[in-house]
Amino acid sequence: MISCHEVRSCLAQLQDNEVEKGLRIRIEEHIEQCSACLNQFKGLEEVWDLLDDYRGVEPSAEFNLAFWAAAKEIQYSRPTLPRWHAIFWNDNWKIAALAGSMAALLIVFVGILPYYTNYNNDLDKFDNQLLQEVARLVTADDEDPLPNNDASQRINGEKRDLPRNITNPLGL
Amino acid sequence: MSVSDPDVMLMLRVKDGDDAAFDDILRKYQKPIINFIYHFVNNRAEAEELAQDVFLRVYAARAKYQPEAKFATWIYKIATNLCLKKLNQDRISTRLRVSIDEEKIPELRDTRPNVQMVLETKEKEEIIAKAINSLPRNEKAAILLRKRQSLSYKEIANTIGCTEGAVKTYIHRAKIRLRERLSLYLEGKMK
Repeated sequence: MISCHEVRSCLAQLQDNEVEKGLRIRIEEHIEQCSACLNQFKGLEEVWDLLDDYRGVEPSAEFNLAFWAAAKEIQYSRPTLPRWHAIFWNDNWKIAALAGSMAALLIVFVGILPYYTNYNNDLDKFDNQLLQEVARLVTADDEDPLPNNDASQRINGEKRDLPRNITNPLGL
Repeated sequence: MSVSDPDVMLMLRVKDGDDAAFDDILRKYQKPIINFIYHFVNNRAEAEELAQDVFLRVYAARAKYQPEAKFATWIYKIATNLCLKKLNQDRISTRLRVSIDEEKIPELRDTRPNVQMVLETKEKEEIIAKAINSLPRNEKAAILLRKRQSLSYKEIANTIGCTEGAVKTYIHRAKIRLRERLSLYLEGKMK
């Protein structure tokens, strides 16, 4: 059995037909048996009907004209874009600007590429030269071993002079 | 939102540059919107001014209009927001403004020649206006949208920007308050 408190909290919704069917049936059954809740409901109905008497006003005859006048005034007073802006800032020009940027990037890339390739070739040339010199050094070591009493020179390699025929590949 | 809503169809025509379609919207909604606002501000001139603002906002939004919601819900949302903003600005919620427009009297006189009846009607409207204006603003918005525009609780929730549960509470409390505040009048009428 639904309580009076529960019923009264739903009376406004019942009046607005915003109560689910099951609950509505239970509330209506309760109201039929409970005069206090029935009086509450009737009170709400009276107030609701009374609000119908709170009438409104008729719009003034010139409301429409006033609206359109205001609309036009706003339209004309709206700050317009400068003419050059209106001409250039459209979709076609946006696409053209994007294409131009891409083309500029491509030109820069193509211009840089040969320098980059030459630089890599120079590095390869240097690597090869270095390898050749190292190979020569190794060969020279094998052909002309150091004397046995010069072991300190063998350990402290930096003290050794390079053979005269070896050029410094780094140019240092 | 389906475009089966005739108002949405009209608005889509307005979007395509058909100002005559907006004239139809204006004719259909001017009275309900003006009255909705009038019940908030209780001043005819202010109501018309705010209503014009509502329609100007709708018209200004025509280019970007997307039929995502029922047109009525959208326009009442704009009207409600403007009214609540106005109430905040003027702090009307803390004052009871019960003045009924003088302009209404001739209209009433036309339909009710009996002076006594006119006075009674005016008195009754003042009492109701006073009771409605004493409501907290969200309760007032909810009860007016329900009573005057017959919006569902869900539509009211979308319009005010709250949950459906909150709308139930607002309307329940508003009705209880109105019954308390109008009980003396109702009892007097019964006698």
